[in-house]
Amino acid sequence: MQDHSPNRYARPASSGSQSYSCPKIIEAEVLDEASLVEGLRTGNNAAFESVVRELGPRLLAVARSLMGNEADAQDALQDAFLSAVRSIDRFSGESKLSTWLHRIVVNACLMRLRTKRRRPEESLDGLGPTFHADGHRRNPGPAWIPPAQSGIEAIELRRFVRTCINQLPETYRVVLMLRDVGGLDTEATANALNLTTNAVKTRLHRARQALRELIEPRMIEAGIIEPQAITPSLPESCTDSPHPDKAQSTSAALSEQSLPKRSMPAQTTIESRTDRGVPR
Amino acid sequence: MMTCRELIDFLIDYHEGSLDTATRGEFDRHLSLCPPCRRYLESYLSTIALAKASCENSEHTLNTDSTSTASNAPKRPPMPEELVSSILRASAMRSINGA
Repeated sequence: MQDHSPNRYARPASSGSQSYSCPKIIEAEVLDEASLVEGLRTGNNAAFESVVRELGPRLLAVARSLMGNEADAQDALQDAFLSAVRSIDRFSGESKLSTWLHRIVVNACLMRLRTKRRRPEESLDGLGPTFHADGHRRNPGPAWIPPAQSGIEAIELRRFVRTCINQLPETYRVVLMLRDVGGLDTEATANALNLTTNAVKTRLHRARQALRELIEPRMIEAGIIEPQAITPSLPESCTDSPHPDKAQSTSAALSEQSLPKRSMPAQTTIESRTDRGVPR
Repeated sequence: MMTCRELIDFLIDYHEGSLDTATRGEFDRHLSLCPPCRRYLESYLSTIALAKASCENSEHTLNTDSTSTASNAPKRPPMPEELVSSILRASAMRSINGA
C-alpha cells in the first residue's frame, strides 16, 4: 500500500475523529466496486480505507457473532483484511467483493477458533428438558405460536433472540451460528471446526434446546401463547396426559397435517459456499 | 413405544429428515398421542426459525449475498476508530516491510 493519492473511493465524511493519518475524503462519489477492487490491486491506501470503513461494520458484526467477544472479533477482522489485501489478485469478481470478504472473515474466525486451546465441553446447566425416570418429560411448557414478522415487536424479539444466542457457551454458539444461521450443512460445519459430524449434531441439538429455554420465558411473558393449548383440563405433564404408553393406539390420533410444515434447511456444501481464491 | 426423552433425542434427525422409516413411524405415533411433545416440537422448530430470523437482514447476518442497497440496508454501529486505525497501520506496515 504505497499509493497516497486522494481518496476518490470514499463516501462523504461523517462526524467523528480520525486518529489515523489517512488521506482525507475529498469528494462524494457513489462507491464503485470495480474501482475499489482496482484500487486494492494497485495498492491504493484510500481504496483500502474505503473498503474498511464501508464494509467493516458488517464484517465486524459477523466476527462478533462467531467469536463471542470483542477482542477476538477485532483480531479476526484485522487478520481477514490483511489476508484480503494479500490475496486480492485471487479475487475473480464472480461474487461481490463484500461476499468474498465475508468468507475471508468467517475463515479467519474459524482459524482462530480452531487454534484456541481445545476447551472441555461447556455446561448448559438447566437449559434443556428434564425427564422423569420413565422417560416422560417434567413440566412441559405451553405452546408457542409464531410471533409477529414485522413491526417494533418483531424487531425487539429478534434483538432479544440475538442476546440469547450470545449467552450460549462458545462451543455451542459457533455450531448454531454456522448451521442454523450460516446455512452450512453438518459435514461442512464439522470440517470447518475440526469436529466429527456426531459432535456437531450433539452440540447443535443442545444449543437449540438451550436457546429454546432462554427464549421461552419471553414468549410467555409477551403473551405469545396459544390460548387453547393451556386449557385447564390439559395436564401439563406427559405422566398425567394421555401418553402413548397408556392410550389406545387408535384414540385421538392426529394426522400429520396437524403438525407445522417447515422447510428443511438448505443442504449447502462448503464447496458451494467457498469461492475459488478465498484464503483460509 | 418411544418415550418423550427418546423423541426429543430424535428431534434433530427428524428435522433433517434422516430418521429411518421405522423410527419415523414411532416418532409420529408418539407425537400423535402426546400434546406436550407436539408443543415441544413446535417450539423447537420456532426456535430454529427465530435464530435464523434474528440474524437475517441484521448486522449479525452470515449471509452477504442479499441484495440490500444503501437505502434499505440496516443501520449498523460504526467501526471503532481504533480498530480502523489498527487495520490501516498493519496494512501499511506490511507494505513497508514488503510482506
